[in-house]
Amino acid sequence: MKRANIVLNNRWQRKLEFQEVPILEVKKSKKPLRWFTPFAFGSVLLCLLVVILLIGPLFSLFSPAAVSSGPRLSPPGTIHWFGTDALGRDLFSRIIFGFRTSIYICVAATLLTAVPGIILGLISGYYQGWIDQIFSRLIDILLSLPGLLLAIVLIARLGPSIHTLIVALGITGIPTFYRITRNETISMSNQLFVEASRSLGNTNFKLIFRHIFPNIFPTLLVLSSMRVGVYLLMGSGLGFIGLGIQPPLSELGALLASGKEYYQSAWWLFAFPTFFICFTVLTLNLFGEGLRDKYNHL
Amino acid sequence: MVIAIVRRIASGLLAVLLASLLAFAILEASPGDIVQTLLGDESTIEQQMTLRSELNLDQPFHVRFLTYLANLLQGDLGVSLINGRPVAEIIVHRFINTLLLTCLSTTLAVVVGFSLGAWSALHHKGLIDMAVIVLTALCLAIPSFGIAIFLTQIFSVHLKLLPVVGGGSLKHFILPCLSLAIPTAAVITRLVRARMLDEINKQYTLTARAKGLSNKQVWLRHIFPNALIPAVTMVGVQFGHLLGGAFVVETLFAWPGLGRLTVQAIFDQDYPVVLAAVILSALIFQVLNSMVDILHRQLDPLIREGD
Repeated sequence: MKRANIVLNNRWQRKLEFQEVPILEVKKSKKPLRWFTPFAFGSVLLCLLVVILLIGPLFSLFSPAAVSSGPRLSPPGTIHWFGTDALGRDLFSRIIFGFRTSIYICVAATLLTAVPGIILGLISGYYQGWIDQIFSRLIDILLSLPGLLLAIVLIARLGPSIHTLIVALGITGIPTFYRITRNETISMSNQLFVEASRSLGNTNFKLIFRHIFPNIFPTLLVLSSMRVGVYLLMGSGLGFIGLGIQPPLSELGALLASGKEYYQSAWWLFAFPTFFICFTVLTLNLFGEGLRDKYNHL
Repeated sequence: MVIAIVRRIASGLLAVLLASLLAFAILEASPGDIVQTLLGDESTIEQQMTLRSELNLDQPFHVRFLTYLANLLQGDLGVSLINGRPVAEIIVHRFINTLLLTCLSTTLAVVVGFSLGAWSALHHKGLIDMAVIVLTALCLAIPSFGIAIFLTQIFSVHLKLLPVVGGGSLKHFILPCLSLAIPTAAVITRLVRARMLDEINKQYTLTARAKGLSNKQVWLRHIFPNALIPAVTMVGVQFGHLLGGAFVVETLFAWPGLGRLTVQAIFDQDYPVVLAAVILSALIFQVLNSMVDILHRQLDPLIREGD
């Protein structure tokens, strides 16, 4: 607003200032922690997650698949930090490696969702007309099936494996990405700068990728970071009902599922995987929401 | 108005039709032969041929799909491959159970979500607001079965108040209902809160205050109804998701509903049941979405005037 104040004359300035008056007085604490935004908090947690992903295996003293690396169902202690499971496997190693698998699945699934969703959305939103009609109807079909149900049917058909899981999860999110990209693209292509660029004789391709896409990128980044969390929850749900990846590979949902039989006697089998899922999703949501607020203020 | 509604319903029906074609095609592209699975390895070619023609598997794809559709319209969904009972009969029974559970948990979630959301918006940046934000963020980050197991631990194992699995009495409802309602309530709370905070800063709120309306009137008559509109959409979507997607909670609590039936049928390779469940879910999803759209139109004068 500062620049506007310099340029505009007094009458306009007054009008602008009038609009600036906060309508509802919000009580502010005396010492606001300016840097302590959800975004900053989320970013720090995200860095922590990446560190765990990268150097976690250095700390795991046992192989995640080694049966009887310790006594069975022993509670958390100094040797087995998170305790052991019913087969005597070290839970800490299993979680560290399972966590990597989970993140790999979710990030890959998000990419699989984002790339087609965004490309189709850009095309639909930019060209509109019959292309938009066709794509939107196709997406409607996907949208009319509850996401998890489609994933379950696909996995049942293709057989459970990491790649099936990625495909099954990835497909469920395409409508969301498509719709948001399309709507943002439509509102962007009505903007003056796009019109200006077009009148300079730039190609459609350049308009889409140099002008529209960079402008909607923050929204899509927010969407993607939250999508990873959604897929982590969905994937762990699938793992829980036994349609996740199969042993000896482990993934957080499957770990949880194997712990559910012991949740009365061995709480650690249930608590630690849940904590990891919860922590990751919370981090991603904080980061995403923080990012959204940051860009909304611009 | 009427044209818009008719168009919405027609496009919804088309989507259901195409979705069932998609499901039919996915379930059709079978890696293993159903006939061989059913009869076992020691069956003769003749037996296999007979069963194949009984199941219409010797017909081309489009003929089978059209036959299936024709039967579907007459209420005949085929028979279960496992126990030979009519699929329609099995599904209706299970669906009612799921519907009960979903209605109850959605009602709970709506009541809690709306009041909590409005309450925390009223105390924006206060202690209550912070508590609600943190709590809902946590609820959204825990998988639903995590909540379910946590609740079971407290109410069934420690307090011994409620039964863990099964259906029938009212007590059996409580835990599955809570496990489904908590994440839904969290979503609704956050949405209502965010929308109400949005509405506070709009011009009409200022006008309402300038007219000299009391705080209560401004909130109840102006801010809340406008914040309601997007929340209605969200409730519809969430209801649809619960109806078609309560697999995990239903499996965990052994609730005899549609979700558990679907999962069981998938493990049993009972494809007629899976197919019927998928089509039913798609249909419900579309019906709900159309209802939400129409309701949205009624609630939001801006859309109505757009016609």
